[in-house]
Amino acid sequence: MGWGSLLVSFAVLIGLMAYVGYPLLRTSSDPKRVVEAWVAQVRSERHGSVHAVPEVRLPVVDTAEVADDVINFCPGCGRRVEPDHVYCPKCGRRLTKGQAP
Amino acid sequence: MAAEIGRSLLWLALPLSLYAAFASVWGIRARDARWAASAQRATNALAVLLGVGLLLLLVAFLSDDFSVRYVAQHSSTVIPLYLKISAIWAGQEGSLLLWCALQAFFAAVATGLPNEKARPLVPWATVFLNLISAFFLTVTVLHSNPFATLDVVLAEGQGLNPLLRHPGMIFHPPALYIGYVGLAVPFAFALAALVTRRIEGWTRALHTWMLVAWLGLGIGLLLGMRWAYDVLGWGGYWGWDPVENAGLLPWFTLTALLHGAVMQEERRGFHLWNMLLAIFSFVLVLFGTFATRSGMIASVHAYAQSNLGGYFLSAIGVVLVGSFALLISRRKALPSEAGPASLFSRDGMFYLTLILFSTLTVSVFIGSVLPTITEVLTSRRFEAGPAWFDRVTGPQFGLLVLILGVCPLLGRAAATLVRLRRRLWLLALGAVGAPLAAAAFGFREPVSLLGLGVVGLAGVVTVAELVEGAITRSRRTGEAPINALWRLLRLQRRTYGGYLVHAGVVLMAVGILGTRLYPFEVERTFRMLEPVDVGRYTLVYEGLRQEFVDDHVRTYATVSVYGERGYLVGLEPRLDRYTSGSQTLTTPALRPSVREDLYLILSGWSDNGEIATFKVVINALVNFLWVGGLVFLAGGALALWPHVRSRTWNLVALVVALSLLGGAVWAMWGATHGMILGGTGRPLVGEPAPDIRLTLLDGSTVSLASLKGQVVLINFWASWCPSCVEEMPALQAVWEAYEERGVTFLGVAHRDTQDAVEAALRQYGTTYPVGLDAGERVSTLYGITGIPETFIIDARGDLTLAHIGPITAEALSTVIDAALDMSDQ
Repeated sequence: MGWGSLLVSFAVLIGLMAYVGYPLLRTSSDPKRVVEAWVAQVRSERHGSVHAVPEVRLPVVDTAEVADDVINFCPGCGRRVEPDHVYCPKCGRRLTKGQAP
Repeated sequence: MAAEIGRSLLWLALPLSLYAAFASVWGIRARDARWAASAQRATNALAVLLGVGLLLLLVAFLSDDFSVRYVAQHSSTVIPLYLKISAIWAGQEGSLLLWCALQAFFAAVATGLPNEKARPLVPWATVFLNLISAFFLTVTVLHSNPFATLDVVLAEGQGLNPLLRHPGMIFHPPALYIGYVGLAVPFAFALAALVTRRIEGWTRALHTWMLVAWLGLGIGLLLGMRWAYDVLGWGGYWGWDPVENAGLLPWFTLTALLHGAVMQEERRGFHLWNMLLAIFSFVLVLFGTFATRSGMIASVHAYAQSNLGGYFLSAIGVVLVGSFALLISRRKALPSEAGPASLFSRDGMFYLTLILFSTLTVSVFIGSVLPTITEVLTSRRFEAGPAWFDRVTGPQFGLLVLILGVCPLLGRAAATLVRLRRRLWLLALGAVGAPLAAAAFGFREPVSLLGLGVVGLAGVVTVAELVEGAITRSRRTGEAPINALWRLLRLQRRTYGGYLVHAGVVLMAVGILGTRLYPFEVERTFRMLEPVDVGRYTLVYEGLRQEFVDDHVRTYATVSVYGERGYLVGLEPRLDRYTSGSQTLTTPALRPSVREDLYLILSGWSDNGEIATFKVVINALVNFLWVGGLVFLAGGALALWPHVRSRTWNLVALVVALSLLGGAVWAMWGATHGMILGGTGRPLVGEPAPDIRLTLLDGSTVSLASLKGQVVLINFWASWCPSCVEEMPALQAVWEAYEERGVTFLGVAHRDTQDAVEAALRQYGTTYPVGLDAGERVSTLYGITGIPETFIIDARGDLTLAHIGPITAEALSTVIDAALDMSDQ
């Protein structure tokens, strides 16, 4: 294998790793952890922060990415609804998008 | 360099696909969107990587890089550009790379741009799609690497297999691959639906992909049929070859799946059916690749001996065991199904359709593997020939067409007798009218009449469905019926696309009935210029001509075809003999008509072309098959037409679709297919000779009618033609011998001037009357294809000799003596 081909292949490898690995470098967008951090932050503000909780900057969560994990409930009757439901299957109330818990 | 980079790209692609699958699983387990995003990026990167790999192989082909083994084996410097491009998929290694690239591309599109319903299934589908990619990449990288190099650098490649040198090569394999690879997407999403227990909506989410795969397979199969018909020269289009079957089997299950999906979307059950059909479609794809690449079968399609059979066999095993384990573990999530209440309802008919497609699949599968299985088990090979397949599948196809006709009558709700009775006359019209019409044209085989009855019924109902929809809409909206139909085609694309597909099937069924039940095939030896009656045609073999092209010799045979009403057309079947490997390839010539195709193949010749052997095939009603195929594809394209509001997009897509359709129509009926157009045909020996009026050089006019009772010789010649003037002394000698015995000679100067002709006559001492053929009227009447040509007409005005090329005095005397003897009697 020639040096040129070796160099090109190596460059492709580096580029691939950077492209594929990039999302992993971002801060965790696990909704549970986000909520925990948010609760901690609110609590610390209200109670005048006895235990210094390090300030957490809320990461911007791409709703499309986590849409799967968001659990929605019908605002009318409280039945669990799926993201693709337009009406609640139990009480028939019309559901609108963005009703996060 | 290109090959080296290509090789390393493939080596990078394999771990990348495995990583994508792993990252997606990790993302699901840890509920971490970051890993899901990384998996998506890996899937995209894989598609780009393999796309570049394909481009590098293309570069290797275009730059004639014969250090790459695959290029050296499938290309050479002399083959045309389009063949160099299509040589990418001419062999096993390249076709596997194309497969991998398509698989990665489809995976990236399906997971990257899912519709709303498919979104929840994407993480698991990413896993399955990438595992499939990884499997094909493993096979490619480890065992059939297209970038493998040769130790010695060759100056010239081996060239492309002559059978593959055809424009069909550009479209037929890729279309089939789109079908095969496209099937992986519904399969992966079906499994994802099982894993996530979201079984209700997956068919709706995957509808587009099912249609893409279905249309790809359909186009591939139809193109293959037409290619075989145009080139392979056995006169047929479908030989039940195991590899043809390998393409047909997933198409059956996929068609069934499309019907089952309609039912599932209407909330009528069929969940288990659809799961099984999605799984078996993919398994049958794997079986098809196994069949072509394992060396199990001998066929046009089989690749050279390869050892990939084990891989594909184990993949089939893994897929079957894994899918069924998953299916069983999720049995509680599958809604229980009661089955249709009545057979004579829409549900019942769909049910029957699925069952028929399944039995068809099983029948064809058994027929395809029977030779191998019987050989292994009993050491005696049982060959399931075309007759076996026709007998087994024929009735099942017939039943399917019958259902196709009956189903719309039953309507969406359960059957109501009122509705049925109102349309009963329609049924009668189709079921009786079609066989009657066929019988009137001479098709009287009982089975075919029965079949045509079914086909006629289905056809009438399908057309009625289209018309009735348009009328109902035009009544409701006040649009003109034709506008209403156009609107319906645009608005209810899936329904009306389906009807068009059904109409195509009906037309194809007519063609299949015609070709299968009225077979006509003879092999005859022809002597030059002696008319031979074949069927309703009279054929006259007129000679051979040869052309030397790059690496082969083309031999064309010219045959004039006469029907009941005289000359029809000239046909020129061809036989190519390749210098390397002494391979031969026959290209048939065909004359299409609504009733039948006359199909001529040059089998061989002897005596320096004096005698030639032809295979003559008459394919009754075969054009219905091709027209039906086009209607069928148009229907599929309509069903697939995406819902885009943009006028420009729709217009562009419409223009592209119509030009593709136009191209197909041109390729089938516009191209000459070995027909010599514009010819007028020589009069047949034994038939009355056409009358001519010729103005002689001295200004007087002579006509054949005025010479009745005499033996007349007409010689077409020209002063500029060496072999014509060479025979002039012989003609003059014969003229002098017979002048006094009631024989007239007429020289017809072809494309000549008066001065040149007079000079030539003086030079050769010709004394018989000669005239200029003004406007080539006489030449056209006698259909001459060159000069010299000589015709002799006896005292009754019938032609007794037609001779092409220079003639000797002895031959002339013999014929004239015979003609004189006859007139003396």
